[in-house]
Amino acid sequence: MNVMQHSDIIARKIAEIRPRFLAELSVRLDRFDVLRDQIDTVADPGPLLDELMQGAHRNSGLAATLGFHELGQLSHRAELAIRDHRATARPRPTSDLLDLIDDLLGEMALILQD
Amino acid sequence: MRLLAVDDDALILDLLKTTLLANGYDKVVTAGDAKQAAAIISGATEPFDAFLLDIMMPEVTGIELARWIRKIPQYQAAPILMITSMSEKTFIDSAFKAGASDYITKPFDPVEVVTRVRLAERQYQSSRQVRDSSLQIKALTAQLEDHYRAALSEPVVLEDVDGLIEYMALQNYLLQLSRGDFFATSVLAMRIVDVGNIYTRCSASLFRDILADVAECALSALAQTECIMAYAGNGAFAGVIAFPEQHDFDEIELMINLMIERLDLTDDKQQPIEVRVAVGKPIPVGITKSGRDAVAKMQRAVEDLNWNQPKPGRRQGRAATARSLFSRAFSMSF
Repeated sequence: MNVMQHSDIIARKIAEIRPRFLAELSVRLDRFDVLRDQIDTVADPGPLLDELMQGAHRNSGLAATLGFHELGQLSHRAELAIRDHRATARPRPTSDLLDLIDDLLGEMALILQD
Repeated sequence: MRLLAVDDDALILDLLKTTLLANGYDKVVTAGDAKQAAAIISGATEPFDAFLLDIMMPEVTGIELARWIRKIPQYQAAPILMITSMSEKTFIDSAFKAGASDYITKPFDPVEVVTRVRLAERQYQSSRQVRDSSLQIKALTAQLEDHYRAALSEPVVLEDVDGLIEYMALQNYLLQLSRGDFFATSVLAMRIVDVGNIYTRCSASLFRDILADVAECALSALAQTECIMAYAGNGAFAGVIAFPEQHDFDEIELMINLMIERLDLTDDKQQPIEVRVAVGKPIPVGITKSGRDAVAKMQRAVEDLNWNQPKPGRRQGRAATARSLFSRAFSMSF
């Protein structure tokens, strides 16, 4: 098997995985929307942020590999920002963090719209 | 090469497996979490050659799994590649501390994965070669040991024992003494009781170790005397001693045997082995024509010692005295 054949096999697999990833992304976006709405209303948004962080982690694992570079970068940034925030004693997320989460949700929606 | 890939993202596992298969790695087993991976590893009939572990997994992380894998003796040197989107140093540091060999960063790049796995494969092959070579060296060492096993009668050189000289050197020493020196000089012999049995039960190296232990005990017990000693073969030691009348050799014998007893010597199968020494009476060299006569006297002293007969009753009857002497000399308590 030569290099081209290797690449073809992997490209075919990526093409096969892509719709599955988008299907998961759609479910995740719905969940993210709910979590994002609740952040402003609950007393302790910590568990909500943790769930968002785990979802962002899932996004960042494959997004760039499947061609969604912007999503990959935003997810990675959001994951790190939430982790940093959770390491502090501050209960409420900063506006910068909320903006980043909103950007991530926007990017997810954009991809699914396309 | 048999690989185990662990990730909680089924899509990543799917892509990983395809990538590896496309590059000739057709023995890839996958697990969705650390617990499943642990069960697969524990139940594997054929061992894995390398592991790819996601760091961030729910419940048990890839770092904890790596630590667990490293505790399994057969995987102490197996390559463990961590797959992580966490480029932060703390995670990577923890992974290496847990035993990771390398890491692959997400986003997942199939080319990078294959490159890293190939590196791991080379590492695995070289460590296997080292392990195989080490086994071959062990086998050759065993063969050499058998081949070069000294005959029981050979006065082997016990190099690690301070104060013990070669038998040939001891004979030369006697040859160099003047006639005047002979008057105050005696020759002394001692031998390990039932040495043939010990020789049969022990490997060549262990037998030498036992001879060295006995020599050290004898030299310690004779430390207050002016004695020069050598190993003469057949489990016997020969010595040249000045003014032997100043010392009680029955007590010296008991002291030597008490010291040997405290070593708890065992054979190659870790079974206790009884090592005991019989010390002969010093024989004055006296009036001789030449050093050759003195050497002959020493050889006779070695040969004439009643080798295999323990001295009944002496050991227990004088044990208390010997213990007291021993304690005084070496500040040990019983």
